[in-house]
Formats: sequence, structure tokens, C-alpha cells
Amino acid sequence: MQKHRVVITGLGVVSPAGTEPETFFSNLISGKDFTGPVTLFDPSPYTTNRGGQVRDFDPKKYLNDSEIKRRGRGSLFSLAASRMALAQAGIGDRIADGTRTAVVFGTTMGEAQVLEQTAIIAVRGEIPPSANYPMYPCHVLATNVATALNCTGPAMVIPTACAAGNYAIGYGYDLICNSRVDMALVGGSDPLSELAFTGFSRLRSLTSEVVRPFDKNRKGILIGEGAGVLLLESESSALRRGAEILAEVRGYGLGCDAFDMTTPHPHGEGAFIAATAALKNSGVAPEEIGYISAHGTGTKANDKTETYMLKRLLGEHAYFTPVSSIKSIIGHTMGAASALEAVACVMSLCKKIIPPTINYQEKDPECDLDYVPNIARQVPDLDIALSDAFAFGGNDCVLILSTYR
Amino acid sequence: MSTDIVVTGVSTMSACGTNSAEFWSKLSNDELGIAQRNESGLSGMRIPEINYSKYLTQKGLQFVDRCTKNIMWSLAQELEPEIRKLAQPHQCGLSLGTAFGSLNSTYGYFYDSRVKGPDKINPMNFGNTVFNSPVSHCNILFGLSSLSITICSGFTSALNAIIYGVDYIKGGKGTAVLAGGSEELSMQWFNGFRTSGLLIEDSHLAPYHSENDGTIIGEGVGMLLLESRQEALARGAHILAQVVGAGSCFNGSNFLYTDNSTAGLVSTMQDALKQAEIAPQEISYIMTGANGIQHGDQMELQAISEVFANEVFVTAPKKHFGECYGASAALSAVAAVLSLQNNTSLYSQRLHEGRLDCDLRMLKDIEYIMINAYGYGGYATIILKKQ
Repeated sequence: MQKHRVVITGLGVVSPAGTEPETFFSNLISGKDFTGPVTLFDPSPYTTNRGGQVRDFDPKKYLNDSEIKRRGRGSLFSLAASRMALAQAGIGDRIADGTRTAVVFGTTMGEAQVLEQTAIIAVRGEIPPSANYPMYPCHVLATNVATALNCTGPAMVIPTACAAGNYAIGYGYDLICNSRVDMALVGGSDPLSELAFTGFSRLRSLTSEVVRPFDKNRKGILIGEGAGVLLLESESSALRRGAEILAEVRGYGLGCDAFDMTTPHPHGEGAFIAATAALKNSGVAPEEIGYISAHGTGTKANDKTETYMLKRLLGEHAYFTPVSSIKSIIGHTMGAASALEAVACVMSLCKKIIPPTINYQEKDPECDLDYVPNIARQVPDLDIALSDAFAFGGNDCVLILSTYR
Repeated sequence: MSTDIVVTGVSTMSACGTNSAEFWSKLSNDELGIAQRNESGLSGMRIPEINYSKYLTQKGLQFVDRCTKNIMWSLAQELEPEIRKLAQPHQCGLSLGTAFGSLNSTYGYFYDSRVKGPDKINPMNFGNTVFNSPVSHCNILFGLSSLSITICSGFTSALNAIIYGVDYIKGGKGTAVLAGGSEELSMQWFNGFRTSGLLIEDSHLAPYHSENDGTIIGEGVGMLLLESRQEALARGAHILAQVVGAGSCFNGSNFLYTDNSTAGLVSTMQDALKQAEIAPQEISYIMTGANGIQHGDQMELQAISEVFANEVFVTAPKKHFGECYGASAALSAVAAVLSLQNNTSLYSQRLHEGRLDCDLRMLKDIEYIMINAYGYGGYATIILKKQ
């Protein structure tokens, strides 16, 4: 059976660097740091009080009162970003016939804030409100979107931690390729979680300053929040609707370190398996890659491993390929990270400019690639972007996007 | 040419025992599961106490929570020998459906950090707080380095994980995938169902028979080893069943059992039949998703009646192991494989013109079994065929 080409016709963003894709991308290009003091909870017990908190998001701009009611912060993000993507694709507020539209989201902890609130109440010896319980299963991030937008195709959440957004995009791609659906709202969403602050603080992975991916003096991550959504569509559906095609999903690949729960394989084994599978799946040669949107968390282990893996994957071409990490700008938005990075890749492909890795000061001999330090770069011939994402458990997913021709 | 996806192994643990032989013995003898209440007041159908070290080394148990240990133990006990026979064992994928995953660990980690202080909790337990922790620990233990995925879609989680595994192999991305579901009893889940009025106080669950409207929660693991037929034949594997059809959709309603529409389940059953290229009357019997919540049970019977114009036989396997949420349909799928292997059905009732006969029958000459899942999260159906 002939596989469908899968194109992107809509984008949605809720992020520390702004809501709406254009604002988000222009802020990334500006090279400013959008991490700052966390106000959603008291961060004083932790290594840092900084994080990538969403500050300018007004759910009422995108959702009605009933859609806002009894929804966790993660669902508000995913629903608002989905509505942006539909609007950009010229579909409107709801899909008229959603039987062939899937909703697939990634997350690390789902509606973690609801669980945290429940635990805080229980610690006080009080009875948590019953309205909290239906929000625990993380699939609500997808089904809240599906319900509001009338999508009745498959709906699910793939909670593969920090690579989850790419996993969701990959499965949406498969569903369209194989004619299961014509459209898929895919992406990732995670609200700022104190639980994540606690955990990463105990693992000594939080930096007390800014995020400096690939820099010799990098100290760790800052935790962020947000949602990134892409409307995927079969090429034939997009052309039939006369939609503007922003970019094409060329393929993806999965791999697993099978090494350690929290530490990446020293040679990036799972990441290499995923990247190799992505090249094979997309039919793209290593030397065709024009930009790499890095996982680039800012930890010693990740950035060194990622650099090693990219050199192993691309050979000499790695030294001539710009690599940047937007986590330096917005922090690590967990399950939303790779989805927001995919949105940034699409914008880069459209505008031929790539965001910088900010806070970069000193070269690390073990991280010796071109990390687009501090200033965005025009790349007029940018055609194909690779976005890699690595997660706890060594769950890795690599995505390849290109301009549409 | 399309790729046939076959089942070459199963593993299970639930209130019906800790391996597939015990499981089949209890189901085929129509033994009802028994709910037990613990000291916290949580009532549910529990996995019997297990000596995990029997199949797992101390290294495998360190810093691993119970939810993960259950899956590890089940795979180690029943499927690891089969995985080792694969041409490339490390390339076997793992696709797990769950509604809650390690919810106990996630909640407990944060609760403890509030009680003891965030600097007093063990950092090694943080890894257990992410939803993909059980799958990742299994990948590490068994050295599986390709597909590693967790799927959450409520009651349909396990079937969607199986469908994902089938698609993964059909798409040429791999030749073998462990696919199924797992769920662990938790106070948060119990309280959620209790406050929503979905639980009964009885110790037994009797869908279609009880006047009571409500369910009993349970816990369990159900896993299938899926392979391409070509791969299975090449290594001389014993083929237990074939996955011939599947369907999955969302019902458009995000609330518990408030949607009367049969459209979602009708469409997944029809999609599965179409993919299997069989007529409804070829289905030997249906393993329903009935769990004692009458609204859902009746909706499903109505949906089945719409698809199966004449008569069809149905059984409700959850009466044996309880409502295991994201894992239930995986347990049903294991039961279906064992039913095909034993060429006999579970005790089933005839559904004719929308009404269930009272008497239970064991059917012979089983060819095709349909498995349904539905509820908070959507609808899904798969069909298994005898080999």
C-alpha cells in the first residue's frame, strides 16, 4: 500500500518564551533568556528558584468557561495550543467531522500539579476534593483536547518522559502514513512540577545559575513548562483543503539505551539507534541534514553523550552542521520539550533562521561542534532539520522534518 | 504483501494466579475473583504475594517499585525464555498500556518529600515517578534496545499498546514486540472510583447478573509476544494465535460513563472485522469489557447487537480478575490466546435480539475471538484467530 506523505499545516505554542508560535519563535531568535523566578510554588527548598515558567498565558483567550473548568494546567496548555494549530490550519474552533482525526500527546508527569495538590492536602490531614481524581490518569491531556475539538479518532498519551513529544509526533505520523486517519493533533504538554524540582534537585541536576548547553562550565538544567502542538495532515488532505503547508515530517526513529534509569549511555547507544532508524525511515542521507535541534539539556552527561552520538551519526558532516538547544532559552519543559523543539524546527525551515544556544561562553573540548553560540543564524539553504530527544530510561526518539516540495 | 502478526508467547499475573496455567485453570472453571480489603480500607482483587527474588536478581529489585516488579517478574517467569530464542533478542520491542503506571510511587515520592523534607528522600526513587519507568526498567533488565513505549488511554490502554506493537511490526520497524498492559492497585485510584460512585461493596463481581451497579477494581499484568509470522516460522516458534483485526477511537466524551452512544464501540468492532476480512457470524465469542457498571455493560450489549444482527456469545472476563483498568484488556487478550489454544471458550452466554440467555455454555471449535475495551478514554477492539 502506498504510504501517505505527512505534512504540517498548523502550530500551537504555550511556552515560557510566549504564547503563539510567532511570538515564541521571535523570542527564541532574540537570544534572550526566558527563565526566571518560579512563583507557582515556593522554590526555596531547592538548588535554584529559577525555572521556565509560563507567564503570559490567559486560557480565556482560547477556551470557554466550561472547557477551563475542572481541567489541570497541562490540559489547559494542550487544549489552547491545539486550538491555535487548528486556527492556523484554517479549520476553526472545532473539527466538523473528527472521525478521522487522532490526538496523540506526550508528557512526563501528566497533571502532576493535581497530584501534588492532593498530596499536600493529605499531608495536612484533610480529605482531598473528589474532583481531583478524574484528572490523575495522564490520558486526559489528549482526551480533553479530543472532547473539546470533536476529534473522535484514536486518542492517547505516550508518556515517555523528556522524549515524549517526539514519540507522539512519530505515532501521529504513522497513523496518517498508514491511512488510519487523515489528520492528527500531536505534541507534548507538561505543567511546572514541584515533584520534578524535588527529584532533579536530589539528583543534583539543577543548575543554580543559567542553562549553558555544551559550554565547558555547564552545571545542569532548569525545569520549565509548556505545550507544543503540530497539526499533521496527509498531503492529499491538505491539498484538498487548500491549506498552507508549513513543512513535512520525513520520518522518525526510536531507540533505547537499556542502560540506566537516569544516566544516559556513555556512547549514546539508544540515541544512535534512534537516529539511524530515523535516517532510514525518512530516506535522508546524513550529509543532507542542515540543522540539528539538540536535546541539549545543559548537564555534563547529556551534552557530552549527544555530541559523541552526533559525530558517530554524521561523521565529518557533524562539524559543518549547526546544532542548537532552545533549552538554554526556555529551560527543560519535560514532555513538551521535543514538541516545542519541533515547532521551532518548522519555523526555522519556514524562515531560514535558526535559534541560538544562549549563555554559551567557553568551549568544552568534549563538545566541539558548532552550537550557534548566543546569536541566531540565517541559513538560506536550510532544507532538512533533525530534532533529537532523550528521556529517562534511555527512551530516545529522533525526528526528521523538511521543507515541503 | 501484508505481514501476518502472530502471538508466540503470553505471560500474566492477577488475582487469578501468577502464571498463565493458573490463570486459565481459574477462568475455565469459572472461578470468580474475590475482593480483599487491606488495612487502609482499599478493597480490590489482588495479585497473590510473590517472592520476587525467585526470578529476579537482587540487582533487578533494587530501587524498583512494586508496579515495575510485577511486570519484570511476569516477563522473567514466562516470556524471557522465548525472548532469548529470537534471532535478535535485544531488538525485541516493549509496548505497555497502563492508565496509572507507577502512581503509587509518584504520589508517595511527593508525599514523603512534604513530610520528611525534599532533601531527605532517596534520589534513586525519583526514576520511579515517571510513567515510562516500568517499561524502562524492563528494557534495562532484559537488554531490549529498540522500541520502548508506554501508552495511556484509560481503559483502552492495553489494546492500544497491542495495536501499536502490531503496527510497529507491520511497518517494518521491528520483528518482535512484547505488548500488553499492567496496572497496580492504589489508594488514589480506589478513592477516585469510590467518590465517583463506581464501586460496589461485594466481594464478587457479576456483570449481567448482579442487581448491584458498580465494579471491583483489580490489578494485573498481561503480555503477549508478537512477531511477524515469517520471524516466528524461521525460528520454529510455536504459534499460539494471530492478531487479525483492530480498531480504536475516542468517543468524544471525557467523563465516566455518561455517554449513551454506541457509535464508538460499533465503529471499532466494525473496523476490526473489516481488517480481519471476516463476517460477524465468524466470531466464536466476544470477551466483553463488562465490569458491573450497568451503564457501560448495557451500552456494550446494545453495540454488539447492532453489529451482530443474529446471535453471538459473550463472556465478561473481569468477573475473574476485577476491573484492572489499563491492564484489563491485556488479561482478556491472554485469556483469548489460551482459549484458542485449548479450543474451548470461557463460560459464555448467548446474546440474541439484545437479550442475554441465563444459562452459561462452554463452546468448542473456537476460531475467532473478539476483545473489547471501552470507558473513560475511548473504545478499542481486537480480534484474535486460531492457528
